[in-house]
Amino acid sequence: MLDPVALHQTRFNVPGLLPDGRGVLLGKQGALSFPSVDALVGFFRIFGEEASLDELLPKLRIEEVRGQAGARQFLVLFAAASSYLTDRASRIAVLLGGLGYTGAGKHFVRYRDARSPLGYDARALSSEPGDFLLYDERFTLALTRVREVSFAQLVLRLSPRALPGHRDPALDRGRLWLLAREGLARSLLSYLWRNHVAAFAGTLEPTAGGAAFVGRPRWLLVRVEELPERILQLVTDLPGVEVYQQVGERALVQVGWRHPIRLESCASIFEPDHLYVFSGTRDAAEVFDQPALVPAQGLVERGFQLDERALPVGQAQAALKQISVPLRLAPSEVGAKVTAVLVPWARVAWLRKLVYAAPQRLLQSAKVMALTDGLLVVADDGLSAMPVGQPFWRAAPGVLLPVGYRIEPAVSEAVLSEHLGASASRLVLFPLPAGRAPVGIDATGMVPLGRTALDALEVPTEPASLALGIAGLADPVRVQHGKQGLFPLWGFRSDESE
Amino acid sequence: MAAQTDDFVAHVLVPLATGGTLTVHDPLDADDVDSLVEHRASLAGIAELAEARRKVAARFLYHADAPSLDADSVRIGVAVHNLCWLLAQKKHDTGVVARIAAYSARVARLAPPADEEALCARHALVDGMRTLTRHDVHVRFWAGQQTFLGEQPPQRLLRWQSVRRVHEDHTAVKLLDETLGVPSLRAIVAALLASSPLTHLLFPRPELPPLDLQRAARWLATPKIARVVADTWLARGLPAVEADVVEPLIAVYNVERAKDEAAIATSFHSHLHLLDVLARPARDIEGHLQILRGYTKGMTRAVTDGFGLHAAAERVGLGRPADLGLDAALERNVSAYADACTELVGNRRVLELVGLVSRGAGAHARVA
Repeated sequence: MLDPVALHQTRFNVPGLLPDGRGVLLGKQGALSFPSVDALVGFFRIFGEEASLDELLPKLRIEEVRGQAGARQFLVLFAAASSYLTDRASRIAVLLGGLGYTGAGKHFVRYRDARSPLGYDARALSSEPGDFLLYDERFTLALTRVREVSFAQLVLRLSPRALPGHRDPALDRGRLWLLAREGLARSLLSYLWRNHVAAFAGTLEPTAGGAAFVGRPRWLLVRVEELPERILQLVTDLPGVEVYQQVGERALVQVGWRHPIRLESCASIFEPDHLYVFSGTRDAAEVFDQPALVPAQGLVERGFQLDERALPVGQAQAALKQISVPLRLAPSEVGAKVTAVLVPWARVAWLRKLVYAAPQRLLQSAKVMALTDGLLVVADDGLSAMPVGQPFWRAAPGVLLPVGYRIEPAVSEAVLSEHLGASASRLVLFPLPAGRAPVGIDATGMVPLGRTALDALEVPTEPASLALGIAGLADPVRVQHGKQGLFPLWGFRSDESE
Repeated sequence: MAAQTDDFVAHVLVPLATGGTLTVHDPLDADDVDSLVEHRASLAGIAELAEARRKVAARFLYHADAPSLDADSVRIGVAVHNLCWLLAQKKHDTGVVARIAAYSARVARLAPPADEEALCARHALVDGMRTLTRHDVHVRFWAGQQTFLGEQPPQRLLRWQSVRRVHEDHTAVKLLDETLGVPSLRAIVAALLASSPLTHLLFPRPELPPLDLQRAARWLATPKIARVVADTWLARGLPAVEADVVEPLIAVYNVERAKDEAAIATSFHSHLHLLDVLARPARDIEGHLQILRGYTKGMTRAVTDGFGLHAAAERVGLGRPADLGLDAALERNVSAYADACTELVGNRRVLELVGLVSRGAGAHARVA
């Protein structure tokens, strides 16, 4: 019946057969014959696992046919885009007890196998009546079409299969869908909202064309994110509520169930703006219009009334009454850095002795001013090394507080300086005891400590020493020109021998 | 003899020796010198001059007699007098003025001093040259201006100051500085310094002619004079002295048949270093090196070479007296100082200087 095709063979008996680039004989279509529905479904299932069914779907036809003996078969016809695609389809078909053919129109010859790597050609065309003629090694099979089964119908009519075990290890709890009866909608949403589960809900209306769904109740569809395990367990066992996971973009399959065909690989059969729900417990496949989901919070909070509150009363702006409280010193553990020291006049003698030991940096940076209470020494770099007098710390720019005291109220530094009129040129000192009025000091009158440290000293000019020859004349020689003669150059004799 | 020569001693020589007003008249020529030398015994102010010069000599010599007015003193006075007169002239290199400058330089060239007394006697006169100061007045008035060098402007020029808008500018001019820019006048100063080696030794200045250590070696070997010179130099500080001494010291190494003078100058130079070392507590090499780096920081290469010359003198046997070894601690201190000098300058440079000193002063030469 069949002859193996040789390499570079150009003439074939079966019309529509041509070798491709690899020399494999290939027709426009591929045909797969399956003896049963199980084999047919298994084919799509395995093919969907390996590759995308969308490669087959563009011109896919599933024909229910009968042979001459009356046996029912299923013939899958698809566009043989390449020998690679046909190789995969034929291999899977053979695995499930089917056979692979290639051809066009009604004539299909056996696709290549291990015995004939380049394919087969029929020795002669058969004239038997039939819609499809399948040429094989030992027979020629004439098939008559019974009906066409659409692939979408096949998918929707297949019931989901329960997964073994209680839990689906591949379940992604990051995004799940809940399908609840309408009566459970508010309770379910309230429960999710109380448990801080991010949920978006909408109402599912059965499509108008689906006569099987006419009269069915409406459903509440809830998309939940990061559903806790305990709530998942609760809603899974809750009657009237079904938990789904999303497969592809438009299909939902109930958790614990799986559709016989890999739905992700045949996304093109699902129409846009529709949602396909495959329920395992109810053994149903339902098609809904794509619902509009809103946050569950908007659906939970109800019970509003128009007269809950009286109309708001307008508040007129009133004049600000100044809250004035006096500043006061309060004991506190503040003032780690000593900025100034007020040395009482009785202790100034001690300060005078300390000047000898003061480092040059302190003498350069510190400034002093005489006050009624004593001598104020201020150094921005710090005066921690000064053991004499009352230390002060800088509470705000230009504001000096005794160490161990802070000012109340604790206003900001800028406010305090502005209120007291303190600045770099005007210091405000709060002397002890607490309660005394602050003292304003004109900082421009302060002088560096280094300049006041030295007592007046007259340095006499020492006359030149006459001890050794190092010193020259004590009195310089002053040149004075006397009266010149009438002709000073007249008769000048420069040579002594002249 | 001109009338001005009658007061030559009182108006020129005595102010040079004691300070005061030196009065300048017409330039003095050879006839004036002859006349002054001939009548020097009868000139006024001789006794005062002799006493002033004795006081100056007493700074150096324990027993100093009052020097007599000899011909050399007259020639020095004439040279200084003419120098002051020349400084008041506008041009110095043409005509009679140039002849006067040349004669003044010639008259200032004297034979080396015979002894310490003569050395000090000349120094007593030439030293005054350093402080020559002239008071100039520049008068501007409504009709013009006029400058009076070393003399007072006439009173008629200063009258009605507000009406005539008279303005006076008084300037004190250091005459020695004025001479440095005029070659003919600089020659007079060089001749005077050469005639008075002690003045030049005591006050070397970079802008003055360099020291002639070959001719000065005789006096550096004289303890009385060398002691004062060393004291004067160290009072200025060793780094400041090195800047003036190193160049003349290297110059004397290149003079033929001057090995003895070079050895004396080298030993005196090292003598300064030893005195400087002894003035502070003993230190190790690092301690000396710390001080030397402070000495030479920011100074010229000549200053650094001065310390290298001491290290070189140590290696050729001119760097220390022979009896230094009597004190072991002192010897260690001096050796550490020499090592520090080597460390400061670098052994390579010291080796170069050793070759220079050996060639100029003779290797292993010793100064008694």
